[in-house]
Amino acid sequence: MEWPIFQMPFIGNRMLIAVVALIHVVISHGLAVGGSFFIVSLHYKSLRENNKRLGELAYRILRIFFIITTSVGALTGVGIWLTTATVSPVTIGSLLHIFFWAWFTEWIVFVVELVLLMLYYLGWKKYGDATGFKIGLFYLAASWLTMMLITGILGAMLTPGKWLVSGSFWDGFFNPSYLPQLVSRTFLAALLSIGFGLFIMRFFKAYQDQYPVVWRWAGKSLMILAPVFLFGVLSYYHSLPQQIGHLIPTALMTLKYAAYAKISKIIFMAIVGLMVLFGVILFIKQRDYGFISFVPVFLLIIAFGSYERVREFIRKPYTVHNYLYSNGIRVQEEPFLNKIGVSEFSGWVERSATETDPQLRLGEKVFKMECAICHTYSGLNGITRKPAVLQNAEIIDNFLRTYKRSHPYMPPFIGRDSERQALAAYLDKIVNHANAQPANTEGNY
Amino acid sequence: MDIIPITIPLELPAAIWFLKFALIAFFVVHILFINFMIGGTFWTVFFRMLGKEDPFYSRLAREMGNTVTVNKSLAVVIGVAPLLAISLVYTSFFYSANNITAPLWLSIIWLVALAFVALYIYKYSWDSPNYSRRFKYFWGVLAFAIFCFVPLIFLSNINLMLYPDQWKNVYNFWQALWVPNVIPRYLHFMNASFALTGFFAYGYFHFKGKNNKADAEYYNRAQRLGIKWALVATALQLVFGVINYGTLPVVADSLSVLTLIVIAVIFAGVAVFMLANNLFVKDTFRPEWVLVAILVVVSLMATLRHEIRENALREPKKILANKTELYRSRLATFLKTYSPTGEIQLTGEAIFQDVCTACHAIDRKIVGPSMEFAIKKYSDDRNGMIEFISNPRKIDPAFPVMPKPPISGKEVELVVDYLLSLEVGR
Repeated sequence: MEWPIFQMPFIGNRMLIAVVALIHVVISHGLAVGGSFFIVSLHYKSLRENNKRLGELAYRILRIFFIITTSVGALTGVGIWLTTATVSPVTIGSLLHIFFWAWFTEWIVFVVELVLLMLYYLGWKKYGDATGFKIGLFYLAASWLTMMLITGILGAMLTPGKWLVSGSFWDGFFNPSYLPQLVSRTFLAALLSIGFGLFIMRFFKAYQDQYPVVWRWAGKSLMILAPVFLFGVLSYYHSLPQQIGHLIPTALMTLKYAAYAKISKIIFMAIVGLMVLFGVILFIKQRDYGFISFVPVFLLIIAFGSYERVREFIRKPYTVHNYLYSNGIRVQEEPFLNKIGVSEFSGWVERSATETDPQLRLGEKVFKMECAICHTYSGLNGITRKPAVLQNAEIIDNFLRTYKRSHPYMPPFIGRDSERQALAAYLDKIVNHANAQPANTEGNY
Repeated sequence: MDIIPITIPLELPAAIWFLKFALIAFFVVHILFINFMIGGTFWTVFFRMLGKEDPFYSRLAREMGNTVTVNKSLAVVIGVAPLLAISLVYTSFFYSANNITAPLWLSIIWLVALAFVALYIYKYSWDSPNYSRRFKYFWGVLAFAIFCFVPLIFLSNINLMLYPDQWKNVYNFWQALWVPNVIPRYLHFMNASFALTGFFAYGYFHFKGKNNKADAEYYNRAQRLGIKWALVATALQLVFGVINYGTLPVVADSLSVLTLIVIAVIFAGVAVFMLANNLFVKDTFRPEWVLVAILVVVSLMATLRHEIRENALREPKKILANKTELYRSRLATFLKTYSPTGEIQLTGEAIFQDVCTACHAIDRKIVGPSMEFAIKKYSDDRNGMIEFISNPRKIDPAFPVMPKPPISGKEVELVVDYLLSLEVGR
């Protein structure tokens, strides 16, 4: 459409966002929110038991947490802005109009969290035990507050359901999945931090005498936290259909989700079982097994990546429910564009079009405007990987005409008949006549 | 100009004056920390090298490095507010420029993350006997090199967004660098970083020295060094400022721009006068006054940039407004005459056409097998066909598994009855 197009070669736009987001989620949950829990807990233990060396070890682990959160963690946070806005400026532009104040509030809490983190870490020696620990508690509270806020904002963005009807932001914020999400995120953060903390601890060999103390505490914590986490995840999956139910009236989505959720639940149960087992071993034997100990944490990260993916999947084919399709076309304008055609607004894709034949060129432009947001050429979700549906121009055209109901998670084809036929011809060329491909089909430039 | 994307048809979430004010005000805070970060990184590397002969420099380098740890993080997190504001106020222009320079624009995240990690390695390997001098310096120099490059990406973007008539010639970051005014602005900015770091050092070591009387000699010397840097770099700004203003495209210039420059120069002159007096004559002016004066200069500069933005975008904004208005009126006219078809009970044939024909035809195989084949198979097994459509399984390896169609049980029956009524395949 009238906004510029970005095509990430090979991995595709969605994977690009997913990579940045997952790194950020792991660091913000595991090292910031969870990290504050891990360090403050050890700090508390060291004060209560008057164990100075445990405090010193906690400080050294905090240093690593501090380094990673304030570099990669903070930058990937900003990176989500830059990346999503580049991939779909009209989406982020629209969301920004809608959610500005929520994000502005979030930003204020972020600044507060960062300042407290710096006071806590950089002032560890200066402020002494009593004041330092208090700052730590405030840091823990602030970083959890950021999570509490963001969970609601994400919820409001993804399932604005009631909010669209009632106009109250809080209906979107406290949506049915809010509490389950907050619980599972909170406990995920704690679990991840224990995994990361124990892993980092092993690099401080000078404090080996303190390892058993930490292991014992970590084991006990795992045994308590992991089941609560599982409870949060399961109630999250339980709460989702309520939302999908009234948002997406297509049975297919619910079905796909149900099949997915079933497998996903089993995987989470297995991982949590593994973590409890690991906790028992830590608690009783007070030793860990090097890299093997990190396996449950690693699995947990992967499983949580797919948990986030479900969240994203729910809003297809929209980015703002019933207002904006994933490819940036406003739902309201669909019939209008069907009449006048999308190529009326193809200034940006005209710049990067490489085809010379007029029909193929038109098809290429339509592809970039409507499909390229999710589909690469031969990379992830690439069109050349779907030969069954894209056999020849006639079958493709037929598919484009009718997939709206068979593939409800894809935005429908929008445009004039001539544009659809051109798109079919272009897809046919790319998929079935690979040799004729232009040299530069990946990339934007 | 014809590719400026039309305005997003949603209300701004706040008054435009508020957003513009937030943009300028938070940008000032952001850019100050950025300046301190860049200049501070240079100091911590450069003075550490001098520290070989004079322990004063060694200590100075270390303390400056500690301020960078804080300043760099504040710089990033505070930068989010102006980023949000500029995205709202100049949506069509800002995002378009970002798109043109996209790979480099996105690389900012990873470059800055790398620079921050490098700074930590630099800082925490300082006293370690395990690493060579070369290793230690490498990380500091790397961070500084990245800090020298990243502003170029920002400036090329923020400059490109002002001149939509250039978009037709500029396809990437490297071309965007040569749009008028980018390089002069860059030089002006980098020198400002050195000047402001001088002012920062002056203020920082002054206030630290107040609580640390025992070390008066060190703090005194550090302050004076800050003053010297501030003086020299601010004086140099006269040269860089003239080049910057001289290469400013005519459309962006105006009387208000010139007026702001004159006021800024006056305030900078006052700050320089106070500094020179404190350094060469007698410590008569309190540092607070000097810092306020220079803060005024920075705020004026940010306001000036805003004036330049508004000037340069005056015509493009008109074009955009016309374009948007034209689109909206066409859309409104269309929607007046358009009435969507309501919910009607579809016949089996209509459902088949709507849902199934993406993959199936009656008389030939497409993605899935022909209906002639299916009708033959299920001619005496209506329930079998209903069961299969309701819960498709993989049967023939030659075809991809059929997705479950998004229709109700009643609709499945309608389709089946329609198919089985056809006089084909028997």
